[in-house]
Amino acid sequence: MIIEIVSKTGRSMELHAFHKNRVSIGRAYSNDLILQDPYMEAEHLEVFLEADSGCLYVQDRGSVNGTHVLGSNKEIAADIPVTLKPGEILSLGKTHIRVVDEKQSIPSALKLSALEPLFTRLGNWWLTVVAIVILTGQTLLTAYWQNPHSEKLLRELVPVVFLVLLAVCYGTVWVMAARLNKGEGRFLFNANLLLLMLVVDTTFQMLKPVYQYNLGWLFSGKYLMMLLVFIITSLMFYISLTQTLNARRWLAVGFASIVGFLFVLNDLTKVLFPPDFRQAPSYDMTLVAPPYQFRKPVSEEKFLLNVEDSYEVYDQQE
Amino acid sequence: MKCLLVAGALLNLCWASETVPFDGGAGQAEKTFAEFGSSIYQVRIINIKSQNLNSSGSGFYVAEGQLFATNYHVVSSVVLEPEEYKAVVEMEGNKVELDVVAIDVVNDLALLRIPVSGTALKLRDSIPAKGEKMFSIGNPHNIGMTIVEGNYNGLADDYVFDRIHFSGALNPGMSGGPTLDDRGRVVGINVQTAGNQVGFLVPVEKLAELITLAKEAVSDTTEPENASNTNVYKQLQLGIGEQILNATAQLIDEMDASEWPQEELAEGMVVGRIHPGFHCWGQSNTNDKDKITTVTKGCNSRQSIFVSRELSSGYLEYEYQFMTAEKWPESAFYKYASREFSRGRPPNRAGEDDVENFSCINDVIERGPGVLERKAAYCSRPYKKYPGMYDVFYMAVSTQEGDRMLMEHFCLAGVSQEKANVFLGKFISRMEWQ
Repeated sequence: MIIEIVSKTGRSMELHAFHKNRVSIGRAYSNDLILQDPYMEAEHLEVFLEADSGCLYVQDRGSVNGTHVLGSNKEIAADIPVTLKPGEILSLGKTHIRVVDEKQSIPSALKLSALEPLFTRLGNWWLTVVAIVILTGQTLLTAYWQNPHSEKLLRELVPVVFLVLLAVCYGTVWVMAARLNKGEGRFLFNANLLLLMLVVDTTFQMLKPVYQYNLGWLFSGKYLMMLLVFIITSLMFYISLTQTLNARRWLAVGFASIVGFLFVLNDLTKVLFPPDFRQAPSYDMTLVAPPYQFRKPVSEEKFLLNVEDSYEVYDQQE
Repeated sequence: MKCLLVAGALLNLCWASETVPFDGGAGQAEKTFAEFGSSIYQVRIINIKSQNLNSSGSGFYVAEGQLFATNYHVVSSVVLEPEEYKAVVEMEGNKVELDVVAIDVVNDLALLRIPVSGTALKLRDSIPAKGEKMFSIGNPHNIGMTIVEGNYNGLADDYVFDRIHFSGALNPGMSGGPTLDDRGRVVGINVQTAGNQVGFLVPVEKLAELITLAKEAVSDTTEPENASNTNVYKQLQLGIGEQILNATAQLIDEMDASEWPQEELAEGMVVGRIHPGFHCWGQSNTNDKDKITTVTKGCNSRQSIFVSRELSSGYLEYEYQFMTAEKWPESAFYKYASREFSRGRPPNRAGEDDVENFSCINDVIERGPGVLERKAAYCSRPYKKYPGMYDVFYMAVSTQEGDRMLMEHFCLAGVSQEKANVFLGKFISRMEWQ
């Protein structure tokens, strides 16, 4: 017979296996299972298994606070053996227990994700180094493009230090969460995950003008970036949640998308609630170097026609 | 009534001759003021709800003494918000209320109907000689009726809407007052100052035209007087849009009819001055640290048409910029240019109550296959109160020349779609590399 100490939600916290059919529970040292709950009697409860039928019975030994079935107001009558339904959780004082029969079937093992080898590799230290090097390179290149004649390029390394610190914090937070959950910490895995996402995000940011110049007319780069940031952050949190905390899939999806949403909330608010009036025209003068221009130009005559058409908006308004 | 006025004038003359010893030509200003001062009054704009003075200007009797002339900008709040403001003239302690009957926003003139008739000033129909002595009368800063001596200097150069250059100290509050010659004939209406004795007047013939129009309008209307002021003001408000559209249409037609001169701009060829009234300027900048050189030139109509304190329109401008970078990687240079050329703003003052937001189209354009490829943007915003009137913004930047760029840009405020397109059609095909 196995007795689990569980949380209110039914999550197992301690497991006690007994190779006998009668187990007594209480605070007294004479009990088979000694629990230190001050609201519990010295000899509180007895659980026994009827070997032939496989039925489980409990018997309250006249406790002050009684024994209850969690989730209902049903109190177990004192001094009479009562049948226990499988899975029922009992409250004794402030402790919750679940009695499980050894023969009870358990769900089959979860299949490891196909990405598992990749995830394993994500925890490598050399990946950390590579990611930091790429991130540094990208930051310096962006700064250089901002002003090639600046003498303060090295100052741009400060943000990289902060990003690395951020990755350390991210890893640490998950280690702590995992420890609380009695799981494996996977510090490097999570830190690397964040660094990689930062690399991806910076890459997108660098490519944004090229996209905006060539395809911005189709779907604004501003919205695309918002979408990408949402996907990247949600994906990162999803992987961390499922890999570190073994969180259930729908729970992870829900939580990750809330976090991802928070990251774009600011930009999204600006799009959804634009200022009523803007003095300046919001035109698009994104320019990229000739090798990155793939958009086919229209003739001046065609442009004049497009201009003509642009006034149709006002006709519709009236 | 007439007697009283004459008596007053006589008294003034006596007083003048008593205090100033008579010596030939001296005292012309006194004479002018004494003789014609009684036709000139301060126009007070009163806020109806608070019953207090909001702003003030000056004005004078014209047209047989039934009408009162001033600047449009003095009475603009009365025309636009008749339920909030009224125009009042104080005559010997009595407050006389005036109704606006005609306006010319382009020349900043307004005619008001005044219930108490007075002596009209005569309008001069000959052109004065340069240097001729003039007297400008008005009430600057609400400190009392003042006369200022100055000289006639002909029409100001580089002005699309004619203005007389008067070298005399005009100050706020004198707006709408007359400038008279030594025989007391109106030469112009005080309208603007550029400080340091540089003043501007609206030529009197513009006033004469408006008076003719107003008289026609008055004789045309069969409505009894005081019929419905709000209706009159509605008509005047709508007229503002038409007047601005007509003015800009005429300017654009003149530009369209003329040959546009090509001028050098560093390594490019651009359009020079396309209207005699345009003011053109140039500027260049080499930044030793960034190693970016820019050369800019442009022209504008310098004047904008005042509609209200929140709205000005009728302003036209165009501008070209050449930009080159030394030892800049292409990607960096184009990034820099993106930032530089994304700061375009319309030059005219306009707020949420008067115009919609700009809406833009963005394209990549070329003159012929592979010729002068440019990233171009065209934005327009309609006016809320004047149908068919738009502010238009255009900008294009060349994209094929590696380390050098040419930018072309124009802004037209208060134009029709048709005229804006006429201008764009001609403008778009001009700029080129040398």
